[in-house]
Amino acid sequence: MLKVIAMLLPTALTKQQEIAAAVDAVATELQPHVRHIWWEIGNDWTGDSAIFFRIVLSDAASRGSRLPRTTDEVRNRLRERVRPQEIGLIAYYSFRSQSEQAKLKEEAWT
Amino acid sequence: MAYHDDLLDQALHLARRDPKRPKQANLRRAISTAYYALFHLLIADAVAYWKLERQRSSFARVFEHKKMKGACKNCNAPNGDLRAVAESFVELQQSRHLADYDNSRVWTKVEVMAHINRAGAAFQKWKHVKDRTDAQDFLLSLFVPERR
Repeated sequence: MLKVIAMLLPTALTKQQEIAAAVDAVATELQPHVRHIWWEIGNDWTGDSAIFFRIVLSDAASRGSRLPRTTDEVRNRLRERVRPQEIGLIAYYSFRSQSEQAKLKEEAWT
Repeated sequence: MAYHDDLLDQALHLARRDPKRPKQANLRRAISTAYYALFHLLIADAVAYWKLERQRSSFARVFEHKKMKGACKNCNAPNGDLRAVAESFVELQQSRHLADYDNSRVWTKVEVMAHINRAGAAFQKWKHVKDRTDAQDFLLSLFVPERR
């Protein structure tokens, strides 16, 4: 019975520990620009399995022309380390600055 | 200036309004507009292959968001820029859906600027690859039903 259930679970759900470790590694590697990475597995608007990353950046890394470079780097590292596509997930990334998050204090980003 | 370029400019304009206290309405419209900029860019280039110019606007109406997302999701072109355009489309479409329909979601300027930058980068990458054969095949996949 357990074997059957395990077979039915999407690969991503069985890999949560690996995902957590990979995300932590990226957050550590990209300090001090990345302050925190929160993630969850769910479904996107069309029902596809997805991983949603919410990334809090330092204020310096969120400014003007630095923002695209920072976000590209975070996306690339998470793609390399987590490999969402290989576990059947579409990756979605949202970014916020540290001061924006401090003002909003949203739990979903902590 | 083409419609899709105007939309990208408009997204930036909306995101940069009220620098101190950006209004949620402007941020939401900026997200949505950035998605539509890429949506219309791809459609414009797809219909440009249709020889009869007077029929192009009718042809443009066959494109559907969900179908286009499916094609982008399945894009496994070897060219990295083309894959990046497809990934950007999927990501921007999800954000557009949240911005348009989820009123509980709060948007910030950094978040919105990151999405607009993503759309802008997709425009640049698309310019580099649009004449490639795999990019032309990609355009076809945006509206042709998948084979079963």
